[in-house]
Parts: sequence; structure tokens; C-alpha cells
Amino acid sequence: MPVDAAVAFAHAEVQAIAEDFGVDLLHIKGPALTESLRRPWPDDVTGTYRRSNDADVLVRPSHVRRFTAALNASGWRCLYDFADGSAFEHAATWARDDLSSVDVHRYFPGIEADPATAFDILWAAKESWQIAGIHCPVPDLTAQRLILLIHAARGRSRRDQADRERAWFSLDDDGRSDVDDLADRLGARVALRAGTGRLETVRGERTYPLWRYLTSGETSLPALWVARVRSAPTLRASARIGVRMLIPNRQRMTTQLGRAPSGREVVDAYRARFGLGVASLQRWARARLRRPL
Amino acid sequence: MTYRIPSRVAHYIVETDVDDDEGGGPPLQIFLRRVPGGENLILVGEAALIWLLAADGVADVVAEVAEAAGHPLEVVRSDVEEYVGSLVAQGLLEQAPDRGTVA
Repeated sequence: MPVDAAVAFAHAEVQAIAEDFGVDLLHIKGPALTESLRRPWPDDVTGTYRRSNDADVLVRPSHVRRFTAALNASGWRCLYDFADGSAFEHAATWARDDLSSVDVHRYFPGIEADPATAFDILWAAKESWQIAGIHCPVPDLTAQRLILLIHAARGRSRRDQADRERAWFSLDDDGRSDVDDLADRLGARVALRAGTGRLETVRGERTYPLWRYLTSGETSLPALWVARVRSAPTLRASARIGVRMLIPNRQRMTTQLGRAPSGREVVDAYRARFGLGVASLQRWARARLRRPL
Repeated sequence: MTYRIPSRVAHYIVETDVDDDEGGGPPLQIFLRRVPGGENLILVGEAALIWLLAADGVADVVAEVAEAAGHPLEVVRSDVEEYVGSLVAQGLLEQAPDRGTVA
């Protein structure tokens, strides 16, 4: 089956499950985008057209537990839980053998408003879009542009640049104003500014360090650690993020090894992680000290 | 009698070069899946054509298939009708409501 078909069918499958279990979700990215935002783009290396390899949905936060239970009851298995995925802990990956995997988002990185409030805002303006012939709720065009832009803000590939071009640089002033207004309502101002080359206009905002890191091309663990900790909304969140980022993830190790890691392997991973953290922290600190203020 | 796609049947039509004058392009392929939890199915060539015509609400699928295949009606009628019946039995097509029916 073509990858496009497997992705489209995954959207259709989870939509049917959501309806059967009374779950509100929005289909985002990939085939859930309107045509003008969805044109395929040539891969940097192979020149072949790149497409989505998985399906993405944003679930009403209060329905997440019900939805994941429904997926489990419907033959899906969890590959990565929320805490096992990215540093944002925003999405869990679910899979089954005959379809593409599905990333279940409980919020979208860059949207800082309370997740339930943000979902309400997006849900109130939802539209219906057929994916594989199945009616699926999707964010409206302005929200699709915003989501694409704040996602592209984290990348520097030609694909990300093409997304920015389609979702922002090709817009007239009214179109940009609509995206800006929605970003303000969703608390996504900093992320949107990062995604549209205007990050320095929001210097001093709480999440500015994180988006500066994400758009800088820097890849060092300490710099990310500092950016994530400084950008957390509360001290408690800072502490939690700071600790979690230094702890090896057992689920990810299980997937990589193809089996549960042994106790020794976990201990080694802790040692390597902390070793890497200390070494790169020293390099990062030296670089910071050499940099003129 | 006309047919339509049931609301819980996902479908994906593989794009082919329909302008291929030589007729040597890949055959029409349609993937189908009853959601949630159904099997992935693939229809190829004439089977895909029959499903597509019926799903599109064509009133006389037999006549359309006969014309497309270049066969007399009598030759294809029983096979096409039987196949459409099997698609309905599998839940991959359903009978459309009579246009004269008031909802």
C-alpha cells in the first residue's frame, strides 16, 4: 500500500474510533492541510517528493485518556507515550501493523495558552475535510497556517522554508494579521515570531530563550537544557523539565533495543547521559565565557 | 438502482496516467478499508472500475463497464451485477436512497 494511502487510512481509522468513543479531535498536518498548504516538496538529498509518514491529531485534553484507552481497545499499541517522545512531552505515538502510525498530540508546542482553552478556540472554528473519503474535523485555514508556521520554526530544511513561504510569506497584510491575531489568542506569539523571522521583536518574553535555541541551529544538550528550564512557566515545571531531560528513557531504549533494557544497560545509559551532560556543559560554559557580552 | 460509498468506508485511488494513448499504463488501483478495524483491500483494473462507477452513482453500471471494456452488454451483465452484489455484501458499497424518496 502506498505510504500516502496508509497515512490517509490512519486518519480515517482514528476519526471513526473518536466518533465511536465520543472523543473530540482535530486532524492536523499532512493530508489534513488544505491543498494550498499541502503541495509536496522535493527531498533535499534524493530529489524525490517527500510526504507525511504518519498521521497527526490534536485531542481535546480532557478526552486524551479516553482516546488512548479507545485506541488500545481497537488494536493499536503505544510505541512512545507522552513522556517518551520529544522534550516537549506533547505527543504519544500509536501504531498498528497495517496502517501508518499516529501521533496523538495533547497540546502543540509553541501554543502556550492553557491546552483546554486553546483546543476550545481551535474547535470553535473547525472545518470538515474529507480524508480518504471520511469526514474529519480540521482547524480552519488561519489555524492551519499558524500550526504549520510554529512547527516549521523548529526546522531549517528546505521543506520548512517552503512551509513558511506557503503559510506566511505569500500572504497579504490581512492574511498575516489574521494569523497574528490567532497567535495572540493562543499564546503562540513567540513561536509565530520565531517561525516568521521576527523573533527579536519579542526578546524578553519568557519563552524567547527556548525559541532562540530552536531557531539557532545549535544542537548542544546544555544549551537546550538551559533554554527549556528558563522557558518553563513555573519553578516546579522548570525543576521537572530539568530533571527529566537528564534521565534516560526506558521506553525509548526498549524500542531501540527491541527488548527491555537490562539493569546494567540502564545504569550505563545513566552514566553516559550524565557524562555527556557534564562534558558538553563544560564545553558550552567555556564557549559562553569566551563570547563577548 | 444506484449505489454510494458507505460513510465508514475509507478509499484511496492511486493516480494513474489516464491519457496514456498506448493503454500500457498501470491499471487503476483503489484501496478500501472499512473503519474502524477493517482489512485493507485492493481492487485492480476492472474490479476497481466497477467499484468507482458504482460509487460515483452511475445509474447503469453494466452499460458503462461494457462500453469501457468494449464488450456487448450481454457478455458482461451477469459478471458485473454479481460483482456489484458482492461489494454490497462486503459493505464496500450501499444502495443509494431513491431520488424520489422524501427524507
